[in-house]
Amino acid sequence: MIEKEHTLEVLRQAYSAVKDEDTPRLRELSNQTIHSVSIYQDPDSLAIAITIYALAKIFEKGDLKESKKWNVFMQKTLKYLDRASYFLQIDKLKYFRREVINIRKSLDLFIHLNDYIQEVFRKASINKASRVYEHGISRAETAALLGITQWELAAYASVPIITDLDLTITKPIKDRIKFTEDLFNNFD
Amino acid sequence: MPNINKALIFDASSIITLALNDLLHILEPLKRKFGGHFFITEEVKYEVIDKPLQEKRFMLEALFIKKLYDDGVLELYKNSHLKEKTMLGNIANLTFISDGEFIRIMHSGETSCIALYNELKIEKKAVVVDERTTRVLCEAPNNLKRLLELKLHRKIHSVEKNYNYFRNINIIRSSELALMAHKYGFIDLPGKKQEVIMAILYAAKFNGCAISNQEIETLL
Repeated sequence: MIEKEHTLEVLRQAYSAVKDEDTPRLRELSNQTIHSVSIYQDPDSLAIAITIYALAKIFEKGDLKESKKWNVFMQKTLKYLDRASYFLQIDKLKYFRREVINIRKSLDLFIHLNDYIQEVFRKASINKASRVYEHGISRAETAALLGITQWELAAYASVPIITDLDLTITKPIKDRIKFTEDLFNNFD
Repeated sequence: MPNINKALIFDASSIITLALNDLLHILEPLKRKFGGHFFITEEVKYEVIDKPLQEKRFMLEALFIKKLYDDGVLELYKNSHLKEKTMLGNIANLTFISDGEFIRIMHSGETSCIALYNELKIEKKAVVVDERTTRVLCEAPNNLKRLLELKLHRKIHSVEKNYNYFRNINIIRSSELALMAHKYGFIDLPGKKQEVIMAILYAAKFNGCAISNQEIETLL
């Protein structure tokens, strides 16, 4: 586990955010692990980023809170977050990873929402992928890392924060067009 | 392999942009106009045809691309000895360092295109790539270093001698190809010329082509 202390802090804050059902805070926390994902391609940081972001999306689905199973879900999630922190603290990575997986499994309580939950995790992966791509990693590498396709990433890779930085303008477009025209010119 | 005197090498990103914008149809007439080869590598074929055919979400787009492949518009460059692609992949991913760790920045799909570009000993060639990292690495690698620093909030060191492997690569995007298609009348849409060009460029931008607002506005 790379950047252990930082991850521990994220887990502690995630615990508080879940307890308070603080969705914006959860979204923000999921972004904080993206640096690790980008630099080290650390799968644990990736799993945490996606899981926390997915939790934020689940909390946004207001009608779930009406469910009788909501309290059970909350108790389980808090327990697993707490245990994930504990196992990470004592460097038991295998158990730490198990607890992160358990958070996702706790959503099985809402079995009738299985498709929705799968979609939430897929979108969480895409969201995190766009952040990794924003950091400078190529699209194919980002897609491979997050277990999604370049197709899914295409629309998300187009936000101005990725495409409109001066650093990414490497040649005047008119020069590029002129070069393309010359390529198509068959009258040599 | 017949005599090759002109070639475009397509990365998956540019084909995907065209597919998502319903512009794949421009490739056949463009190729006739070009008078050369439109190559893809095995890795790119897998990404734009084989893999999406196994899933539901982009299967239709994959079938359109498969038709282009079956009809010979997109040609698979069959050379399993593109060893350079592996070397280039290793080099790209051993170029930028943060906190003592090399950062993996590129995938085999992208480096296979660069390797094929280097393999083809002809003058009139280009890689058609929409994704940003490959282009910036080839055209302005210190910009990529700076971008990594900006986004990762830490000092990045680079092995500058590795830049040499990615120099002098001609790069165009699906946006430039679409502009050629419009110029030659292969995109026939109602509206004033400027409107159509704007629509084409923004469509490319919002479906994956790394072209900036600033670049588009320069043309309009």
